[in-house]
Order: sequence, then C-alpha cells, then structure tokens
Amino acid sequence: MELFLTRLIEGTNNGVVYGFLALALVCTYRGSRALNLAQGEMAMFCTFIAWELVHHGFPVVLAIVLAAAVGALTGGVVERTLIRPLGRNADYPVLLVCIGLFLGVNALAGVIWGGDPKAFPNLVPSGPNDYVSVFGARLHYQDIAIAGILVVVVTALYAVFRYTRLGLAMRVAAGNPDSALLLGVRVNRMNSLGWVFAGTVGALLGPLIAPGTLVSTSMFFTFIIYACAAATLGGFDSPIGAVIGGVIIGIVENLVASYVSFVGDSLKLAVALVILLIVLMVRPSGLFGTREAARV
Amino acid sequence: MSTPRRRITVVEDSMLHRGLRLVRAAAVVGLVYALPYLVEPFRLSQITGACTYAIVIVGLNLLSGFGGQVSLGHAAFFGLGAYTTGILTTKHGVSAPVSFIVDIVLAFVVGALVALPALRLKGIYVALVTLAVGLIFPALVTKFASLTGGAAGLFGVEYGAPNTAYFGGFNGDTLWHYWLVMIGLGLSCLVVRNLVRSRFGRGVVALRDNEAAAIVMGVRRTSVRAVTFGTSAAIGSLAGGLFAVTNGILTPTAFSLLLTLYLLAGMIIGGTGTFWGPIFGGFIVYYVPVWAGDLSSVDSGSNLAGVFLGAIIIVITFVLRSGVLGLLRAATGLVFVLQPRIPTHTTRAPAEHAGEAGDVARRPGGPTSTPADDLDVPVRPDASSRI
Repeated sequence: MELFLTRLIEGTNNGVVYGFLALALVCTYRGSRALNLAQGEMAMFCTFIAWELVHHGFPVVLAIVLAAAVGALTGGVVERTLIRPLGRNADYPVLLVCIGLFLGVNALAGVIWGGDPKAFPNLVPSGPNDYVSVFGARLHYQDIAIAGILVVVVTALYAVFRYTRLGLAMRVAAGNPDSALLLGVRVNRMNSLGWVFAGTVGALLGPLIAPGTLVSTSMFFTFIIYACAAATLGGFDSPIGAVIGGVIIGIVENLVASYVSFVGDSLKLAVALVILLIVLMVRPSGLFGTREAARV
Repeated sequence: MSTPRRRITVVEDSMLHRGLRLVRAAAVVGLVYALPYLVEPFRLSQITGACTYAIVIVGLNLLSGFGGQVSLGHAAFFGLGAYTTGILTTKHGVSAPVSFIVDIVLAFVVGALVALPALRLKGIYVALVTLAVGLIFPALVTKFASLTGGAAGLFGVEYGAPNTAYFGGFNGDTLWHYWLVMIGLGLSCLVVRNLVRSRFGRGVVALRDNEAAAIVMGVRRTSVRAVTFGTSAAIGSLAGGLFAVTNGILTPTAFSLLLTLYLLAGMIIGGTGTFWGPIFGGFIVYYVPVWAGDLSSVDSGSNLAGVFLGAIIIVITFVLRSGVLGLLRAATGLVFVLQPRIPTHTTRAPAEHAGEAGDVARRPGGPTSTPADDLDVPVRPDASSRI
C-alpha cells in the first residue's frame, strides 16, 4: 500500500509537469491552431536566462519572475513575427516554422551556454527531510510547490476566461474567428495573447523543474512529447483538460512501468505514446475537447 | 512583369525540349560515373552518406511534397530498414540484397498501417500520430537489446563488394558502397517520378489540393493515402538498409526525432514537391553539420548547424517555398521559356508534366495562358499556396 501510494504520488508529480507544459501547448493551439513543438525549447531558453540571473546574484523568485516576463515577451513576438503572417489555415507552414524554432532555439542555447548541464537552486527547502509524509509516502516540498503553482495558474486562467471581458473575447476569437471579427473582437491580438500566456506558463515551469532535471539544452526533449500526449488526451482546446490529461498520463505511465515488468523504465515514454495513439484513433477530440466539424 | 527579354522559347515535347532533357540526363549520368575518378575516397564516402539521406528525403517528399501530409516519424522507417538489414545479415545469414527486399516490404506494410489512423485526422493530429510512431521505434530498439544490440549498438553489418577488377582496388568497398547508394537513389527517384506522373499520382496531388473535390472526382482516398504512405516508408527503409551496409554500425540514437527534423529541413531547403530538390536536401542534411565543425553525426551537439538550419527553415517558409530548386528554376527561366502544349480533346491527357513543366509554365512572365476553361486541364500541384 505504501509502495503503491509512493508510485501514485511519483506519477502525479510527473503528471503535473506534463500538464503544465500541455497547458502552454493548449494556449497556443486555441487561437492559432498551431502545435508549437518549440514550446519546450522556448521554456528551456527562459530557464537558462533564469539561471544566468541567479548566477549573477539575483534572488531565485525574482529570477523566475523575470524569466517568465521574457517568456511572455518571446511568445508574443514569435506570434506576431513568425506565425501571424502565415495566415489562418496554414497548418503545414506553421508546423515548419515551429520545427525551425525548435532546431534554432535549441542550438542557440547550446552556442550561448554550452552543453554542460547546470545546477539550479530550489524554490523551497528541499533537504532530505523536507517532505510531508502521507501514509508513509513522501511528498516533497518542491513537488508541492510545482503543483500549487500549477493550480494557481490554472485557476487564474480559468477565472480570466470565465469571468472577464477579455476572456470572453479570447474564447469567441478561438471558437469562431469570423464572427468575432464582425463583433469587433481583435482576433489577432487575442491569438497573440494566447502565445503570451503560453510563453509565460512555459517559462514558469522551466525554473521549477530545473533543480531536478538540471538546466541543459535537452531538459525538455521528453517533456514536450509527454505534453503532446497530455494535451491530446485532455483535448487540444481545453486548458483544464490538458492538466487533467497530464496527471492521468503521469499516473498511468508510472503504474504501468512499475507493475508490468515488460514495460519497465525503458518503455515509459512508449506508454504515453500508445495512449496518444489510442486517443487519436478512438476520440481525436480528447476527453474535454470540442469536436471539430467541417462543412465541405 | 512584362520585360520582353530575349529568351529561348522551348515548346513542350518538341525536339529541342527533348534534346535539352536528354542532355541533362546524360550530364547527371556522366557526373555519377565520373565522381569516383574526380574526388578522393574520403569525399566519395561523404557523398555516399549524403545520398543515403537523399533517398529518405525522396520518399519523404512523395508523402509531404506531393501528398501534403507531414511526417514526424520518418527516421523510424529509416531505422526500421537499417535494423532489419542489420539483424537479418548478421544474425540470420540472409544476404544483403534479400534483406533490402524484406526492408521494402516490411516498411510498406508498416507505413500503410500507420496511414490508416492518420486518415481520419487532419492537421496537427496527423503530425502527432507520426511523431508517436517515430518515437516509439528507438525505445523498442533499446528495449529488445538481445536482438538489436540495444544502446551499445549493432556491429559488423556488411555487404561485400563483388569480386571484379573495378571493385578490386584498395578503395573497393568505398566504391561499392557509392554505387549501391547511387543505384538505390536512382531507383527511388524513378519510382517517385513515375508514380507522381501516373493517374495515381494525380490522385495524390488532387487529395492534397482539395480533398473533398478529389473524392467527388473519384479518387479513392483510403487506398491512395495508404499506398502513398507505404511507398514513402518503403523508400525510407531501403535507404536505412543501405545505411546499415555502408556504415556497419547501428545505434538507436542515429534514428532519433532530431534526424526526422533534419530530414524535413533538408526537404524544405532542397525544394518541396520537386524531383531534384531532395537530392540537394540530402547533401544539406549531411554537410551542414560537417561544415559546422562536427564530424561525427547529425544527432550530436552540432550547435551552429542547428542555428543555421532553424533560421533557414523559417526564412524559406516565408520567402522561398520552392527552396534551392526554385532558385535554380528562376535562373534557367531567365534563359529558357517553356511553352506548354495546348491540351486538346483529341490527344491523350496532358497531365504528365504535373511537376516540373507545370511550375515553369506558371512562373510570372511565362506563358501562363493555358486555356483554363478547357475541362481537360488537370489539377496541378499548387506548390506556391501550400508549402
């Protein structure tokens, strides 16, 4: 029971990270219909900036906030300069630009900061004794902090979408751009804002997981795949779905890897990918997504 | 756009047009034959490596360029062929040519199967399916280490040169590998060329340009898409088999997502939806990391190469969607003007030049005034609006 609980908590902790990044993917997808494969790399770049700031004596919290600001700015700039000019219904060119960004940003970070992984300080105390015991299973402060921040971010996003004029405008811009334009909603600006949100979310996540993964150019390679699976499972246009999808994938993957000896640690990623394939075959809109219908 | 420069007008299918094409073909064959005498063995093995990637890109181009479906998993088909050849030749004593045929058949089946779930989906979801397949492959290779050698690698894959005087010299193996890959590349190019110019290929292009209209016109979407995907995968797999025998060592990291991204980059930079573009693309995939100071392989920390490739992909997506080949065409367009045959009801269908000729004819300033009201005018690949 204790072991099961430990594995459950472990899975949830991973799942929270997947959901966090998936949330960023959803923010860009809602407006621009773009799968931003470079989301993880952009987050990685911001993490390096945070590391640089900490390295120069900034307090960790301030460094993270500044990195998030940089993330917001780059998100907006990328949308305005690289995505919007391609126009709507440009799936393929947008994907290519994202691939270009992926390769370019990843390599640029390598050029600037080199290939060696760098240590990053924890946000909260994380000594060997800094954990909460839940029926014998350990829940570390840093993991609680990540989950807590995710809850805050999701709640904030939900509140914005649900209760503010801006959120309403964003929803209508995503749901029906043509009608939104006629109603005077600045659709392009709303899409930009989606990218700003995504950039912020990604940049927040990077420094939070950095103590565990270390800051390196490959820190997001697997997370972006998990995030794709999480967003697909939850539904690509549902922020809540992304988070729930992330947690489900984290738990399922960890339990399957623990209890099915054939899978083990080496096929963990494959579990998530199989879930992704099954969802796409059975219910492409995911658990919480809206089904897309096209008139021909 | 109305500068009446003195250009040579070439009527499609006239003696002059055929002659020019014959000259071009002869030049290519001559170059392939002469290269081993012109460059050092070291360079020749590099060219072999570049052309191996070119074969994969030829297959990828069939799927993405002509078929309009993106694949983020082609490194997996490349790897499938490589490991099939590797395992069959080293562990089961199968001869290499037989293993190549197994590669092709196996990848065709797997590719067609992958295409089936992708059929129901659009846009990014197709990309996600192929992404998943592409990533599961290296994980499986690492998992079944007893068969594949796992992360340590599979060693000793070889295909000895025939015992003739030509391959008998000190660099016989290099020369043999070169010819193997050249034959593979030539065959793949021919398959794609003939496929695209056939009725089937017109269906592929029509599905890309307007799926609903194509289905209404009688294109069988399921079978056409599945066969396109299968053929594309089979070509990639053949390249993998050749990679295995020319390289000798296989490791799962050589078939990562990064390779897929590099292959896509090569295809885009060479010229998407063109016949010669993928060959340029292969050289780009191989040589850019080499020039950027990293001589090992495409998946190590070749940082400057990545910055360069990333920037170029973005630039090309915006300003030069037909890639390097588009530049070349524009250059030849300054000298030659291709005047298409006017399609009539009495002659056979005029659609066989869907690729090259169509693009040149549509170039601004060229004689674009083919009778658009003629119902026989086929759907043409509209490269400019797509990629």
